[in-house]
Amino acid sequence: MPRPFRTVVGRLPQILLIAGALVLMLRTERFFTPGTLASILTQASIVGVLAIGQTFVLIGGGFDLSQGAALALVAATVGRLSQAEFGLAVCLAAALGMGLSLGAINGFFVSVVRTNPFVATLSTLLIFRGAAFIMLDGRPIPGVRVFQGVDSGFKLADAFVSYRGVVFVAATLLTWLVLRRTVFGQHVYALGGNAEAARLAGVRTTRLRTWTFALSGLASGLAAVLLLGWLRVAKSDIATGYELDSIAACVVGGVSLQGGRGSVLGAAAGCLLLQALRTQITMSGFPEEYRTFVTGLVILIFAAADALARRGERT
Amino acid sequence: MSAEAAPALVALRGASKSFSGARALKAVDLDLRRGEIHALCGENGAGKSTLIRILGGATRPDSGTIAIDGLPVRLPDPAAALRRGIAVIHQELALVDDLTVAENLALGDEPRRGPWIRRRAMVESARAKLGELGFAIDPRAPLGSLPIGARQQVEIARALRRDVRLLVLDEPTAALSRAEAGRLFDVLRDLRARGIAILYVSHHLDEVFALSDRITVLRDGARIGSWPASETTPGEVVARMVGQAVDVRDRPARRADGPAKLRIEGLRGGALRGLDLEVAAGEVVGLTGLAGAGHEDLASFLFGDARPTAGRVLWDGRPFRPRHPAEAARLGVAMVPADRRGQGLIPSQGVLENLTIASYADLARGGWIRRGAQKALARQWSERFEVASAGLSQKVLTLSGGNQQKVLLARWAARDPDLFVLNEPTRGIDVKTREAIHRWIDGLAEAGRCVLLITSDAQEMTRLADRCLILRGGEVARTLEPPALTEHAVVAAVVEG
Repeated sequence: MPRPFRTVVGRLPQILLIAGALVLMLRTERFFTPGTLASILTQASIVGVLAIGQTFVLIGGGFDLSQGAALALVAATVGRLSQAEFGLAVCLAAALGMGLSLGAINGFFVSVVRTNPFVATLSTLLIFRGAAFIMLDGRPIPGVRVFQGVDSGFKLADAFVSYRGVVFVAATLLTWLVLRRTVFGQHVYALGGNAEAARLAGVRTTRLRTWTFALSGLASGLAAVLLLGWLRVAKSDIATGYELDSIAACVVGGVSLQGGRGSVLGAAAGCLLLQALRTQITMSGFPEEYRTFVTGLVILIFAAADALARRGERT
Repeated sequence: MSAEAAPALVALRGASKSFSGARALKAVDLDLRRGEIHALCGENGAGKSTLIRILGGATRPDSGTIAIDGLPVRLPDPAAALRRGIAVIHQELALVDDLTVAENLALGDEPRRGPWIRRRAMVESARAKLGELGFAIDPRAPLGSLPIGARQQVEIARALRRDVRLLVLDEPTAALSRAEAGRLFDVLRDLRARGIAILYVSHHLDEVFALSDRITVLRDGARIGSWPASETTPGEVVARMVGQAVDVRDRPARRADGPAKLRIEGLRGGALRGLDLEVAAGEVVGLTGLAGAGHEDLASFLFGDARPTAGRVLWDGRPFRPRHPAEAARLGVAMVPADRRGQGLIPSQGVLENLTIASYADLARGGWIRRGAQKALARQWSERFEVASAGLSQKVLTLSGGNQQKVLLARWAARDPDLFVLNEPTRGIDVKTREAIHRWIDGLAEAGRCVLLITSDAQEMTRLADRCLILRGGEVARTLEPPALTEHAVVAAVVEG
C-alpha cells in the first residue's frame, strides 16, 4: 500500500466520525443551531453515561451486558424508596451505591470466579431485570419526582442546556482525566493490554478488574438518576437494550473490544454522533423504522473501518 | 561464487526492503544449497527476520529476485512459498494446543470421505510421519500436554508433510532445554542427509558451529559475507556481526562477603522438593537446570506469584512471604520474566508506560500521576539503558527484541530494588545488547544488590555468576564455584546424571 493511502486508512474511523458530523451539520440549516445541538446532548446523556462506564470495562478487557438491567433495578428501588417518602439525599445515595454494588457483583464473578464476562453479565442482565419486575410486582410506579431537578437546566446562547447534559459532559471529562492521569486509569489500560504482564509488574489485577465492572455499575446508577428525572416513572422494562447502545457508542468512538485501547472522549463523541444521526433521520422526515436500520449500518461501517485501520498497523 | 560450488537450490539476488524509510535489507545475495545447513548470523535489526519473511512469502521485497533451481519465482504469500517447498518454523509455534498431535499434523489437509474426517487414517498417517522422523510422540495426545520440545517436533513434522526442499528455522532452540536442543540437532542433520536445505537462524554461536556447514553474516541489512564453518571461528563471526572488536573480557573478580541477606530453607512447592539457598548482598547466584527442574518455581515464590507448600524464606533475617507480585515489588523484589511478550510487555502501550508501570506509586500524588516526573524518569532510564526508540510514545512491540528487553530491565532498575530475579535476561538478544546487560548486572552486584540469575545459557552463567546451582528434580544436584565454574562444567552438570 502506498504510504499516504495507508495513513488515510489508519485514521479511517476518526475521519468518518468528523465527516459524519459535518454532513449532519450541513444537511439542514435547522440542524446546526445551538438549540438542536443542546437537545442532542440532552438526549444522548443517558446512554452517554452508560458508555462512560462501559469504557472502563472495555479498556480493561471486559464486557458489560447488564447495564440496562442494572439501571432498571436501581430505578425500581428508587421508585419504592420514593413511595416510602425518602428524600433526595437518600435516594441519590441509594441509586449510586446500589449501581456500584450491582457492578461489583459482575466484577466478582468475572475477576474472582473467572466467569466469562459475556456469560456473567448476560446472567446478571436477566437477574437484575427479573429482580426489578419482582420488586415492582410488574406494575409501574408513576410520579417519581425525587430526581426531577436534573431535567431542568439553564439558557446558554439561546439554547436550553439541561443538567442531564451537564452531568454527561462533566462525567466524560472527569473519566478522561482519571483514565489518562491516575495510577488507576493507567493500570486499567495495562490490564486490557496484557493482564499477565500487568500483574507481574505489580498491578493488583483481580481487584482492578472488579473495580472496572463496579464503575460500570456506578454509571448505570447515575444513568438511572438521569432517566428517572426525565421519565418520572419506575418500570421494570425501562432502558431495555441500552447496554447495546452504549457498546455501539464505544465502537463508533474507537474503543477497542480487545481491550487496552481507546478514549472516553471517543466513546462520548460516538454517542453524540449516533444520537445526532437519529435526530437527523427524524427531522428529515424519514419514518421511525429507518433509525434502527441506519444505526446498525453506521456501527458496522465504523467497526469495519477500525478493522481496516488495524490491518494497516500490522504490516 | 566459486565454480566448483554446488548449484544453489534457492538463490536470492539483490533483495532490498525498506520499512517506512528505514532500509531493513540492502541488496542481499544468498545461496542455499541442497543438503546444507546454512547458519544466518547477525545482531537484532541486522535484517535476519526480514530475510526470513521474504523467503517465506510473508513480506515482498522492494527489489531483487528469488530463483529456485535457477528459475525465477514469485512468492507473494506464505502459501506460494509452501507450494514451492519453502517452510518456515517461527519461534512462536503455529499449532493449536487444544487439538491432538494427529489433528495438528492433518490440519487443513485432513483425510476425508465426503464431509467426514477419516480419523483412523489421520492417526495412522501421523504415526507414520512421526516414526519416520524418529519422534517418540503419541499422535493421540493433546498437543497442549506435550513439552515444548515435542511440540516443536510436531511443527517440524507438519512442515515436512509437504514436499519441503528448504526448511527455515528462526531461533529454534530459544525455548528448548539442552537435551531437547540436542535432539533437534540430530533431526536437522538427518534432514540434511536427505538433501533438504536448511537455513538456521541463531544467536548461539556454539550451536551454529556445532551444526552448520556455512555461515552468512548480516550487519545493518547488508550481507558481510558467507564462509564455510570449518574455515572461520566464533571470534571472527562475532567481529563481523558487530563490525568492531567486542570486549570479551573475563568475569571480573567479585567477592561478596558478609551475612546472607536472602536465606531460603527447605523450600517446597511446584517442582521444588526442599531447596536451601543463601545470597549475600553483592552476590550473583545462578540457577539452572532442565525445564521443570524447579528454578522457575523459585522465581514465582520469591515474587509472590505462587506460594510454597513448605519451608521458609528469610529476608534480612525476617520471614518473607509475599502474597502477590505487587507486595513482592513493594518489599524490594524485582522479577524480569523469561517470556518478554507474554509476561513482560504491554503491547498496546508505549515505551513511557511500559518503562514506568512499576513506579506509578512513587510517581503519583494522591493517585494522580505527575506527568513531568513520569516522563523524566522514563527519559532518564531509557538513556541510561540506551534504548533506541523514536520517542517515549513509540509502541514497545515495534522496538527490536534487545530494546524491548532493555525497557523491561529499566522498568525494575528504576525502582532500585534489593533483590533482582532475572529470568533468561538475554534470551534471543543481539551480542552488543547482551554485553551491555551483563555489564549492568555486574554493576548491580557492585552496588550491593542480590541477584538471582536464572539462565540456560552456560556462557552467560560463567560470565556472571559467583555461584551456580544446578537443579534436577526439584533439588540441588551440583553447586559450582570458580574456578570449577566453567561453561563446560555447567553444561555437563545440566545434561549428565
